[in-house]
Amino acid sequence: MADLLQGTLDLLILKSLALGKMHGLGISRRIEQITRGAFVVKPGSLFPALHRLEEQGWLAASWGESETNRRAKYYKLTKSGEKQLGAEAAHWQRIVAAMTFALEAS
Amino acid sequence: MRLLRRIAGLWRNIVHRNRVERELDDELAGYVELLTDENVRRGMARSAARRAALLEVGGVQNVKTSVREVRTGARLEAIVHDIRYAWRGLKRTPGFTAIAIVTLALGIGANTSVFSIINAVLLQPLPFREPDRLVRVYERRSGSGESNVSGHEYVAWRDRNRTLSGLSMWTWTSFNLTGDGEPQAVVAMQTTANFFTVQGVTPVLGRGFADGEDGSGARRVAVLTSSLWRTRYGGDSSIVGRTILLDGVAVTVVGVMPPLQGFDPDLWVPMNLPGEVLKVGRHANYVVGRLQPGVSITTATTDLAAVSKRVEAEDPDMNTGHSVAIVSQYLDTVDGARRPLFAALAAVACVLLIGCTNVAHLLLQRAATRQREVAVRIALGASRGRVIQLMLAESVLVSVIGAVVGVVLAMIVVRALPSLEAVRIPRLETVSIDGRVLAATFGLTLLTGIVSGLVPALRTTRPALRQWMGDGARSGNALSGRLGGAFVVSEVALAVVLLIGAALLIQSFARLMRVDPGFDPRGVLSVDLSLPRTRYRTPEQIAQSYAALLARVSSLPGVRSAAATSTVPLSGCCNNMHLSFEGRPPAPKGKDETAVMNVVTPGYFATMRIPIVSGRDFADADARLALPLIRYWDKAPYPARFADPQPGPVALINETMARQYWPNVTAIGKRFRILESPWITVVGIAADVKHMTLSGPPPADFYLSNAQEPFASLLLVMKTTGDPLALAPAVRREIRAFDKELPVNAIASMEQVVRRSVGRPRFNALLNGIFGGIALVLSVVGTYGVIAYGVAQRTHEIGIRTALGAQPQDVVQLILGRAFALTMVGLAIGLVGSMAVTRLLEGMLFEIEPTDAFTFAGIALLIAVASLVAGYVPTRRALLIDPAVALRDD
Repeated sequence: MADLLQGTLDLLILKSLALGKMHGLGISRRIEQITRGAFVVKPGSLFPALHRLEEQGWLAASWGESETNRRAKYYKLTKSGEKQLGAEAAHWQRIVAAMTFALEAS
Repeated sequence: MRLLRRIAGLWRNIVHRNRVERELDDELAGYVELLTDENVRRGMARSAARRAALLEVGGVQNVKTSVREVRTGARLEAIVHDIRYAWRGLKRTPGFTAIAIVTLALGIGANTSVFSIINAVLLQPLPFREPDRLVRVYERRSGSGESNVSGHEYVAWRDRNRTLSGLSMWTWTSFNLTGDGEPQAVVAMQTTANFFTVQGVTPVLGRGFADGEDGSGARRVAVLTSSLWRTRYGGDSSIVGRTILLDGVAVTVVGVMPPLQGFDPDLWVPMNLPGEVLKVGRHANYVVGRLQPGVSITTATTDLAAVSKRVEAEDPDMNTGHSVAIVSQYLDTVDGARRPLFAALAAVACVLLIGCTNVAHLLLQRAATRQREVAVRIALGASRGRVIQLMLAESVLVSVIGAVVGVVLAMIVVRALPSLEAVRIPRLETVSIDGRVLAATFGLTLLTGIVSGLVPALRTTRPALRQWMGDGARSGNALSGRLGGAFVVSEVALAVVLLIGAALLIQSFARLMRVDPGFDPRGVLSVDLSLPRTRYRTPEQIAQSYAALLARVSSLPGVRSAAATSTVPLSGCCNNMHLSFEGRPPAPKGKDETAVMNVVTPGYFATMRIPIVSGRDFADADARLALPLIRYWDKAPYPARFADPQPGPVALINETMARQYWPNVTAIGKRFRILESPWITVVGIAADVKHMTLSGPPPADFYLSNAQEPFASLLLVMKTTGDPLALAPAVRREIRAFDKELPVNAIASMEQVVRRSVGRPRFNALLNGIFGGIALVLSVVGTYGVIAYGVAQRTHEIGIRTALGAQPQDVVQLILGRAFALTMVGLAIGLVGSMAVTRLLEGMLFEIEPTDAFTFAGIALLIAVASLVAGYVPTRRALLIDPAVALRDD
């Protein structure tokens, strides 16, 4: 799926960071993994989204060493990011439920 | 919290821009490294792994661009970038820049000036506590409209109303202020003690009047205006408690008040209210009231009208038909200024719109030369919105620079305003360019930039056009030609409306100046004097003093004749008196018979060259022993020596009064009475004189002799042989020699008085004339620009036509014909628009219809000529096109 719905990418990024801090490539791979390969996020959409979320205060960034000893920028959820994840997840559930009802209606 | 974070982000992105960028570089580089490592782990060779990684990233620059776009302040940064770019562009084309800036500076400067006047005069609340509750109360009479109030009416309203929280009365007077320096004539408001409380002002020093200070035997006190306090007493705060001399009487200063807009006295003194209440027939006072909270003017009017009804029932002789009229103090102060100011605002808005149209066309021409650049930008991925923003930056920048120049122009105009005192617009002295004016100007500037830039920007970036555009300019001809045509049509239409409005006002003024004022102002000097009542106590003293003064000034070399009068023509004052006529039943109640009283000395009519159409002038032999004639109420005592044998009371009347009260018979020898005066015989009829305004018909006037009804405040008038004002110092010397403490209120030539009386119409004509002129010039320049550009673009076509045998007249028809045709369409729209719009000028016009056919035709002719002027140069250029050169160019 090439086009991510607006808002979907934000939710996926927040979700992928729920377990702990991670660098850009890690986030990308993690999203691929938790969506079972349905979403592959390219840097062209990933980095603007990360920077936007950081400016909104939902992510905090710090520099660290990767497992292969590369310098990388790590992102983690802030307090308000966790709250946002909860809110967006709930919102998404409602949409999914509503859409499911709608499509199953005869 | 959220805002704080945004501001912090903005700070970081702008101030630490380099670090932010470096970190982004590092982050992306790290990403590529990690991806390469991953690929290597999957078994790729290092170089292939790196290539694959870079491929997956898909262009580091693109990623960076899209990250930059989401940053806080990205828009701002883009705007700053655009402005820098626009600035460089403008510097490259100084000619265009200068023309555009001058055009917009004129437009914005004119708008700022007019708005600053409207802001100060109309929009600022009056500087009083809860000014919305302040009202002016007048007496209303069936038939004659609003008039001044008498003391007993005031007291009745004050004591019996249920809708006002306060009611105050005042009358105007003047004093001779002496001691502490030069004698100075001061204008004073004589008020009831509650005046400052009702009006809602607090003193800057000391206090206002205390209860009872308007009683008959009260201590004499005064309150100064802060301007008199500053100019005469140097702002010394020990003034409170000091005594000053008013007409030679010691008066204690109890306070200093801030300037009261709408009133401009030098000081206030309490009136003698019990004394004023006795003068039942004297309607000479003004009344201001404060409504109770929540009470409307209508309710208060009903309330006071009921009071007036009861007063009428109690004393029908003096009060029949006297009701009440209430207007808000705000309207009472500014009403007359509203229409001219809004007309001026509409005019400057039109001027600016024409300016915008011109600048829009200039921008369109520039945009045409930049079409390739725009195409490249869009091809490289800039969005249409981004390119439009880039182009708007240029027009907004031009208009901002224009606005800065315009505001400077407006400051000059505003500084010059107080010298236009003859315009008589209230609060004109308070005009300034304040925050509100600047904010409005700023908004207008942005709007101007967008209005003038939007059409060119939209046109240049139009997608369809870009696709079909082969090699640029020429295929856009038809469209840009049509747009240019629309510009010409609209600016000509606007200019026509402005010019017709201006022409109507100018003609009104010219007609006003041709009105015969009924006297000859040439060479006449007028000197405003008043004899202090304390030293000139008796009517006899007053009459003799003026006779002595006149003897002095008439002996001056250069003075042909001298006389004195209570009212000079066109000074807009009137003293309306109740009359009754011999041999005729009194007028029915409520249908008052009145005429305006003037007091003059013998020789006044000759000095002013007012013809006496029949009968005679006053003579020295008319002097009476019993002075004065008029008693203001029926129980007033008769003057001494009333019963002695002496010359009978006489009057001259004007032709209007003769026609009004003695139609079909000669008025000479007929007799009338003023209030409780003895019978007065008409001995002469003088030609009508415009006492109030040039524009209105003269009211019924009668003249009494100062030797029978002496007035303490008269103006000396002198017919001189040379420049009357040159005589002023000598006249002042004579007056000082007569009485060194006698102040001269004002010296003016009668020609100045006439000019002053038409200050407002002259201002309207001048202002709109200037705006109309600017509009005409701008529209001619604009038409020239469009036609000339058309010729430049059609060089090739004209070359072909000429090559194919077109004659010069064909080319003339093509180019000049277009200029003329477009102008005619604009003219037609403008004429129709004017029919609708000039109606709004109605109250400002004099003896000319708002749809005057002559004016419309004249402006149409002017515009037709202007279009030929605008089309002349481009046409000549077209005629000089050499087909060979034009075709080779291609």
